[in-house]
Amino acid sequence: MDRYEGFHEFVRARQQSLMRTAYLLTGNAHLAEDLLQTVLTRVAAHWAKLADGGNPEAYARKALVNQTISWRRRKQVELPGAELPERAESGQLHDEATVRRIALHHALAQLTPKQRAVIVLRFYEDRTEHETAQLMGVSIGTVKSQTNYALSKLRALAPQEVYR
Amino acid sequence: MKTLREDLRTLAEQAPTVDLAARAVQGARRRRVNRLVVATAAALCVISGGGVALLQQISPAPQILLTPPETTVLPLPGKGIGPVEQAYRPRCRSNGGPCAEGVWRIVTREGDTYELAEAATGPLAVTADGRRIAYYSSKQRGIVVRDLASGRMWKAPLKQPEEDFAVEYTLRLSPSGLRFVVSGWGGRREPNKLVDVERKTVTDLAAGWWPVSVSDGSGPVVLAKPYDMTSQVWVLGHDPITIQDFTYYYSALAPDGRTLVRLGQTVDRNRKPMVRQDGSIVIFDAIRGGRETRIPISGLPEGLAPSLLGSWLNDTELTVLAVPQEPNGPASVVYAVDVRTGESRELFALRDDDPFVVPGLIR
Repeated sequence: MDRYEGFHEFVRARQQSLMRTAYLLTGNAHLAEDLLQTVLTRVAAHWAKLADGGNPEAYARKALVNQTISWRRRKQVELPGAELPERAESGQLHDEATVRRIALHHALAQLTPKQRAVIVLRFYEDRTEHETAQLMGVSIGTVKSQTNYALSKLRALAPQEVYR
Repeated sequence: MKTLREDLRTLAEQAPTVDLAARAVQGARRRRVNRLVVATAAALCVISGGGVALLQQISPAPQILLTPPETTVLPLPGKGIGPVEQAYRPRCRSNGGPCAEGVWRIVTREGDTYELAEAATGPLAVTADGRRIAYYSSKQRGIVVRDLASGRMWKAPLKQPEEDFAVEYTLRLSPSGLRFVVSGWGGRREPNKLVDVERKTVTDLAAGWWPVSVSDGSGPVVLAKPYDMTSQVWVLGHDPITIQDFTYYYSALAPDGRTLVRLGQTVDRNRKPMVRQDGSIVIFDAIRGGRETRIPISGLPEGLAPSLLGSWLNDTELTVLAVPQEPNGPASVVYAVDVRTGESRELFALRDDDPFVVPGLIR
């Protein structure tokens, strides 16, 4: 029997969703791919157990969060990208959504990895404080305080967006 | 919060399309083969070592299980412990369920492993010689320093709530461990304090500066602050100097009291990531700045690249941590590198756990 039976199907079905989370956690396409590959390798290594009554997706998401926090130093070599050019290639002004997206990308890069993870889990994945605490292996109090710090920072860094 | 949710979704849509199943299975197969090789070697050692005893037994031969040997972990005794080689927090192995933060484990140079139950929260730091540890004690509400051989303890004259260590933090020890900088960022308090546990003094340091190196007594304290493309290095008591790298990868201050080493890197704005370490070390004068010497590190095996620098073993050798460049590469290894020639020699390999602590490593 193939030790990895069902793994390919799991990855095909969930990798894009996991990749989006990895991208938000790292802010960089290459780092996100590297991160997700590391995590999926770990999932594959434990596949027999995970497929037999485990929850591979929960395992993968938890590993994504923990791995990205432990890659703190790697994140710090990622420099802010070039400033947004005033006009898009077509010569038109950028639409509002693009400006907002780039502003958020830059603001997220200024957060600590834990703060960034809290924002992604609470406001992108819509996790409860309890679930976020479990995924990050911290207390609910830490989730609350980190959310507050992160939101204050985002408000200061991207004031035009006013995330309240 | 609708706007933030929508903006995060829009941003997430920028994630590239990937197909990682085959690569992940390949990586898992490699890991499995490596583990079996190690386990078989361990089993063979057991068989050959116990061969005589086995021959004397008449009962049926015991079953040989191909599983890696379990680490025996004992509670850390109050005294009589030799120097530490490394420390780690065991990686969470649960399958998706909640995972409590584990306590620190200390591995001595003799290979014994001990668990430090009192250090459930926050940092653990080990002096460069491995003889003293410092950690946060919830009971004392502060950092305590402990001599492993004698069991003597020093309490920091600085009370800190646990919340200081729920965020990003650094605990940088002097060689004796009796002087340290504790700093934190991302939280409500963001402390940055120079503490002397012998003289019972606490000195506020300028906000935003990251601790690089602390000397004993009244010796130099080195701080650094990175900017977009440059960094400032400040030996307290002198003017800060500017170096042309954004970096956190420094060594401890050399025994001469002024030489510092950082990992060399190159920047290419058309590359991702734009900044890459180039396998060299850069030696510079932390007080005067000016001329720098770049030395390529040699003797590291393929697949490992220098990642962090640490303390000085003598006047010319520095500890360097080399880590795998690929997610499933070889284990990370600590080397001694001669700063005059770049030649390296292996000291010891690290366990596959994170967070980890290597005595004197600057991270």
